[in-house]
Amino acid sequence: MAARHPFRSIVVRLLQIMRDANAQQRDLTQIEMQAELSSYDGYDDYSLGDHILYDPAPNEALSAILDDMVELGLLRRAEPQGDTGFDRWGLAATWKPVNGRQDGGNDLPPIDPGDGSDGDDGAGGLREVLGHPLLFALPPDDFDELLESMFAEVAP
Amino acid sequence: MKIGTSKPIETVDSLSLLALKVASNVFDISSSLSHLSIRDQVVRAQMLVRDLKQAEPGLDRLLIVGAGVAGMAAALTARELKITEVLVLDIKPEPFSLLRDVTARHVGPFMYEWPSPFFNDQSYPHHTPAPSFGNASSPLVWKAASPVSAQALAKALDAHVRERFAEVGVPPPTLCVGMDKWRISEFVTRFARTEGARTVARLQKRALPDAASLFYKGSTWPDAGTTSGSFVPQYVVLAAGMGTENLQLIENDSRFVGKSFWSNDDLLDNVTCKHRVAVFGGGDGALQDVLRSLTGHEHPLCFIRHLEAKSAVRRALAEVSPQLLSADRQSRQFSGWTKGHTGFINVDHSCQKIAAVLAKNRHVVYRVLDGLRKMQRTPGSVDHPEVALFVRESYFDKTYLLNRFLVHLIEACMATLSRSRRRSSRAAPAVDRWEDIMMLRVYRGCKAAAYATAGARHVVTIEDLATKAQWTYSADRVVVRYGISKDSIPGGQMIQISAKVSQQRTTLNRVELPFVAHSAPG
Repeated sequence: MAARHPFRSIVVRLLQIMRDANAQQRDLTQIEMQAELSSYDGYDDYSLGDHILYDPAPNEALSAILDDMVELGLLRRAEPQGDTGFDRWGLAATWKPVNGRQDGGNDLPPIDPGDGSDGDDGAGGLREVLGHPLLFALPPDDFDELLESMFAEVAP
Repeated sequence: MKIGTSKPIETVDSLSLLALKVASNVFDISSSLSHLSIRDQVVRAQMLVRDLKQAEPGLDRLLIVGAGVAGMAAALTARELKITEVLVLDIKPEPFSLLRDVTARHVGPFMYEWPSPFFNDQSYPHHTPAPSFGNASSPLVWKAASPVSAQALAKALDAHVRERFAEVGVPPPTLCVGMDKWRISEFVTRFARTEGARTVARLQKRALPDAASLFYKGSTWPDAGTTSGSFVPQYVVLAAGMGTENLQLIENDSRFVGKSFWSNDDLLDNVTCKHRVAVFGGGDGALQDVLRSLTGHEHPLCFIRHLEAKSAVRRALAEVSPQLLSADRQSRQFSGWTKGHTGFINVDHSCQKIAAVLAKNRHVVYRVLDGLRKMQRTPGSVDHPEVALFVRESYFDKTYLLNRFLVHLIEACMATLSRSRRRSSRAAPAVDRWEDIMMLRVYRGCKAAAYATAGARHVVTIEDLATKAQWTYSADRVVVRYGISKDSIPGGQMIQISAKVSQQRTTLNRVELPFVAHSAPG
């Protein structure tokens, strides 16, 4: 893999993260962004990554990048949600990413009964249900609580 | 009329997948409220991994969170199904950590199937091939003659898993221990979100977001090496505990918090015979601790063995077995399809009636009362040692038939004894014989309302839920068995397609699990 400029790479990754969050009608806190960035397989090449990775506190360098992105019109500061006290960022209304959903619409695509003529059921059937973000899933808050209580019985 | 299409239709097993799904491509096999025995955990894991592999034959990367019984059963099943990359993560340094130090709690695979014919089998999947179980198969295997302590079971499973890991063929799962919980939960959150977005993108025929990648680093088990790397799972299986046990005697009052179910208590010690023991709760944990306190036996099954050692009692129990089994089957099946407590209420009433009939049989009464511990009075004390059970409902809630029936039977035999003490008749048992036994008192429809101490004693204010009348109970020992806190377990699953919020939820995981899973024919 070719070497990538650290800041350019992180900004691109950030934009991808924000695009995906927008598709789910979500605004993100800086800590949530840091968690997403930690999955980026290029992060540990960069000095910035060391600080971002798994650090539960907001990172100054990332704050500066976010401020720049707001100034460039790529992101906007969102209204705080709940009582967490953390600022949130969302996709700026002026940015129309390819294949993105500008209205942040949360209507999932209608089911196309099809005629079976394409013969492609490789991604269909049960796998569609298992991967569906809503069907037979817990509400997001319940899922978060479930993860929070993991290992509770053996916690010291 | 011909039903079907010109294309071949594949029918797949999906109950485990739909019942255990908690998020996009994430399944939870341990925090369900129903069916939590060790055997259930093994079978549930087998069913899930089997069905996942069937749904996606190309499955070769599976992440399992938690290295307890459920997690290790899932991991070994995955290996049997030739899923080549299986990563198991745990925060503890070795598998089965919950059970390892517990000597006071005894377990077995089929004990709670009493009075089924195979209830006394203590090995899993079974002692000897039984016609009813056919080609039973289990990724975790252990052998025992009697109920074993949790610690002994952990040792047996540890040895078994080490053997399985050493087998040649498909590489064993990678077990990465000592992981940070936050890193695991962060990844699972990100994985679920990403898989959801990928599924929506796939449905909308858009470019797929990148799959979530986990960077892991930790120690390996059993070789105590180190491992690190990136892993991109296709599915995640959560097997990291059943939630948080509710041990607080009174809601919003933390002055008394009991000991965990999976901890070493001293209810079996002789000192209990000097104590007034107050047990709060109406489920399996509460009833099991009542029975342990009253009988001094490690497990309720040992008390059954005591009863059946007398042939007349064995015959009496055999006579009521069909009725008990019918009531239990109906309760389990009805509860699997219906929310609420109706199934438990019905089986509870059936047990109570059957116990009342048995308590008219002198042989049964003698044997039951003879099996109870003798109290040791403390000089100068006005209170007699006894065991008191406080239940919120008018019935025992979700509990196995064995526990439920034995508590009802002891209660009914004590009622017979009390009646005999009140009236002298030729038919009355020789009451002096049981002058010193530990008595059981069951208080239904009440709750602990306040707590205080008086010297070394616990003074609990009990409130009758119907009349609101209050009285105090003084105890040397308080046991809280309210089960898993509802706040720490997931609610129902969403059953909607539109993102518009619906308040309807459902669950499929109440459906009963089989006793064993079967290996594929041929």
